[in-house]
Amino acid sequence: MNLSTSMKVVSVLKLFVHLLFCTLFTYGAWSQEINWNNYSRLQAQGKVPEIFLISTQDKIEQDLSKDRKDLSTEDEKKFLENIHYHMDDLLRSGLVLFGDPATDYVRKVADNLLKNQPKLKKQLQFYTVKSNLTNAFSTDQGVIFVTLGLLAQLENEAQLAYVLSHEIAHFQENHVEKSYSKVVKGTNATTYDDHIRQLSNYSKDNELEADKVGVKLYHQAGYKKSELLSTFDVLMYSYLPFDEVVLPHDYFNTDLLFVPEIYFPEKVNPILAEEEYDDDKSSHPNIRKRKDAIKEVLKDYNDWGSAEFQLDRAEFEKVRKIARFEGVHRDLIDCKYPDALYSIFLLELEDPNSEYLALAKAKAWLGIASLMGYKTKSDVLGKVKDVEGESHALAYMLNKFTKLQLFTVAMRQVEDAYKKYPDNKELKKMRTMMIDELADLSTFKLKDYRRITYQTALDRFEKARLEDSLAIVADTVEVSNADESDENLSKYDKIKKKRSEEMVAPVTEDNEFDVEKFHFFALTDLMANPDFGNEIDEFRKDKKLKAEEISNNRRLSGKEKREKYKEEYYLGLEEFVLVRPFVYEDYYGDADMKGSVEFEQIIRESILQNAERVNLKVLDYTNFHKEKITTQQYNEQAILTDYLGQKVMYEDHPMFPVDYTALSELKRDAGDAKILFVLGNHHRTRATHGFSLAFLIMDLTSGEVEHERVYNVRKKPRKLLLNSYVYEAIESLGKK
Amino acid sequence: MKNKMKYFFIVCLSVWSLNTVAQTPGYLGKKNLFSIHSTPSFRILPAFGLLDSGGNGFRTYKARANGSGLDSKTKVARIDFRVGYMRVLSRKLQLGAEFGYEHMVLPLQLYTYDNFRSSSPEFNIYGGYIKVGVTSGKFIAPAGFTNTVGIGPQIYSFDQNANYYFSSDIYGDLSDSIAAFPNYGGPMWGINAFYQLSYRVLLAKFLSLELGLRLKAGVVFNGDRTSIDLNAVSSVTNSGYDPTINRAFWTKRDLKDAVLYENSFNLAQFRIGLNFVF
Repeated sequence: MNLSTSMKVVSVLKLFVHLLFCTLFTYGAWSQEINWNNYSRLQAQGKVPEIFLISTQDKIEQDLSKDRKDLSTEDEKKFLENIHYHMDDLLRSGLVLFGDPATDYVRKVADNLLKNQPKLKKQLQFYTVKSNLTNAFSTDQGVIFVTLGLLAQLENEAQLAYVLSHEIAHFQENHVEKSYSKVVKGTNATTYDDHIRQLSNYSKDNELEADKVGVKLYHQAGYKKSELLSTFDVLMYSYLPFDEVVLPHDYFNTDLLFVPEIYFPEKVNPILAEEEYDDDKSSHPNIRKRKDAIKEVLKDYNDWGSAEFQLDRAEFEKVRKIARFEGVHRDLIDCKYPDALYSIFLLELEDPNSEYLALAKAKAWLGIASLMGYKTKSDVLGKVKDVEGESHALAYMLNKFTKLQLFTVAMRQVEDAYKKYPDNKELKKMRTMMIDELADLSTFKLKDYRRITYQTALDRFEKARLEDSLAIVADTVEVSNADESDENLSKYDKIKKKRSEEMVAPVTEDNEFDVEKFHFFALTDLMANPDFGNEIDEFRKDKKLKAEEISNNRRLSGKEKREKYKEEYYLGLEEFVLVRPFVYEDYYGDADMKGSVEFEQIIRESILQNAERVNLKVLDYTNFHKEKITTQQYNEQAILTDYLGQKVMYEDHPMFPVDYTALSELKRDAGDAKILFVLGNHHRTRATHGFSLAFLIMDLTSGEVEHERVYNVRKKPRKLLLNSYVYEAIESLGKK
Repeated sequence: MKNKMKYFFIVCLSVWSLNTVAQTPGYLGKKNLFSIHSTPSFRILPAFGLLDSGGNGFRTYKARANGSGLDSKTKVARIDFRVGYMRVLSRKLQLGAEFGYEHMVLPLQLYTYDNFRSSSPEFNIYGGYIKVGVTSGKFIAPAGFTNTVGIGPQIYSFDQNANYYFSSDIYGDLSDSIAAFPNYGGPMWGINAFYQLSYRVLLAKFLSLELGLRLKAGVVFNGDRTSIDLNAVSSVTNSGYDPTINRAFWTKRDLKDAVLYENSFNLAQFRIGLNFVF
């Protein structure tokens, strides 16, 4: 082969490799392309990492061999129990992601930071956490967690790089161990968000040290100096939504809905965050102190890089958008509906036709209506005075609405989404539920609603006022007595009367058009649809029948009651899906993580044994150990955990599950099996014990908790005693 | 984020309807409860002389084998042996019966009456109860706290075969003893009722330890069907000692009174035993 031929072969090979690379790259890019219109929730992908599968006890034993000079043997054991039980609880919560685009991106940024430190790189693992908190934290085990809430707030890769550098510095400087005595005292976390806060709880000196040490890695990686300081701004304003955009006052207005100006504040609440807040009771030094300290450190560094991005900027923006879309999902799970609505508003600016966002909006409005049925406005919508920035306008509007207005606007929003996506099963179900919610509202009366739009009514009003203002008032009086003589009217009189009612505009005492009645014009299309009225009537009839049935049941004889109860007692299941029991043990109110895990294991084993005893098949999603859990099971468990989190807020009231479709897909795997959720609490003090157990059976078809067995016992939950309750609950799932 | 563990238990557990009446009662579905137990009572006040001015206490007196006199002992506790059966009828309710046996050496306040001495009468007590138990609170029977009430007959059978001693002479020998406890012809009868609060600690799937307190009250009937000529006897308590009628010194009435008196010290009993669940 001569040189020329060789060159040709090399060229062809190069071309082939280039083409292959391009093809692979294109495929890779395509495979990771996200359809924002039909966005589906972020899930873990690939193989379950080993750290999720090793038992806590094994981890503790492995770590005992490490040399910890500052701790006595006893303290070391306590320390290891503390850090491992806390971390494993988070790892098994279903909130931690692996193998997904967000985690991959965080890992890539970290790899870039650590490219010159292979030894350190080997010690570290990076995961993202599905939480709207703006936080990142490292553990003594070398696991660094970044919340999606943080990713949603960042402006560029450099800011993420500095946050990661800071967390790596905590690991390098052994801050978890140094902060040990502080952490162990404050284990009163009752939510995973509290948990995350506590895991990121170091002393102020540790924080300043991590800021300082983190600069080195950041600088070495060649990132821009200014972005380091701007990271502190991100942290300071992280309690606000991910963007500050004025909510237009006509945002909700459509052909069928008009929200008057009076429902918006003249000025939104100012943003009050200051750099120099009192940090006496805070775990972190205030931003001013941190900035000042870091500025001193920066003087020692020269030759700063200029990169805001070292990886692909588009990938950062994609990951950030994922985090923001996930944030909406998390707000819906957490029933933070005003937050969700404002985030949806921001995201719709870029993706106005996203079906996902339209669905999320409908879920938020339906959620507001569902919760408002039995909770106070402040419980559902939060305190408007506490909301700062542009999102205050939305919070203000929601709070200013009356309950009927809220329900009506919610119905309007759900109906609009349904009209836009009539084939969407979720929307169909939501629409039915929303109509039921409306029908259940005592102040909702069909006759109050008009078949003309707000604008038409206003135009007519103006016209009528020009002609004869007194007639308007007279008509209004007539409307209020509308129902009285209907029965005696002929068909044509009734039609005429109805039409004349439609013509009447609501007026105030000053004979002005009553804008506060805007909601009566918001369901024009539905009012014209006889099915809507029928559905309302149907719901009310059903409700009446149920009330009568309850009343009849009260009149049954003791024997009849027993027979009826017996008939309803057994569920007749042959199998069920067991998800991880949600168990919490506390000592004087403070979480005992080790006790919680042991309590969980006892309950789990008892369920499995008793299911076998009564010949019930169990699809066990609980086994995190012995490498038995698959990624699919992990994701399914995460969906179910979210479902339960949402359900807790709704107690035993009707609820539309945020992950309705995902739950339906889960049904395909689980078949007809129902899901068993077990909640357990062991509360103890020095002298007393008490435990509670709740067994909830959820039907995937209806998305509802169908049966509950609840026990509260003032005793120590010894294995055999617990067994008696577990047996009773499990046995009732079976034979019929 | 609403994975509020604590919130779960405060809200869910209190708000969701309590729906806990089982259709298959019993521990793990097992409804038969056999028990072996005892209801000891401790005689703190009478045993240590806190009820009598002399300070001797109520003691038992048993004849020495060689007939040389009496050995006395402080009787601290009465211990019986009982077996029982209960059927778990529902989540809370149990119905059953128990049978007991106790050999009682009757403690006496004084072993000398005037100038004679007597060993303690001895009884074999057989008793039965029909009883109903209701498991309290949120427990599932048979575990946990149980309130039980029972009523039943008691048979106080005088032990004619015991080695008795009686003497009008404090330093006398065994020769006169037979006369002190004649053949009474038949046992005394009584009726007892009790209320018991007990707690069952589960030890294994088929075994539990039951600890409790039992309050007992009862009556003893004379049931004197003896053919003894009452005019020919002298009662140890009622008529005083008559040296000329040195026979049948303990009448049945004396025994009944002594038993009732002793029982009155034992109104509160402990209850300890094992339950087997099948």
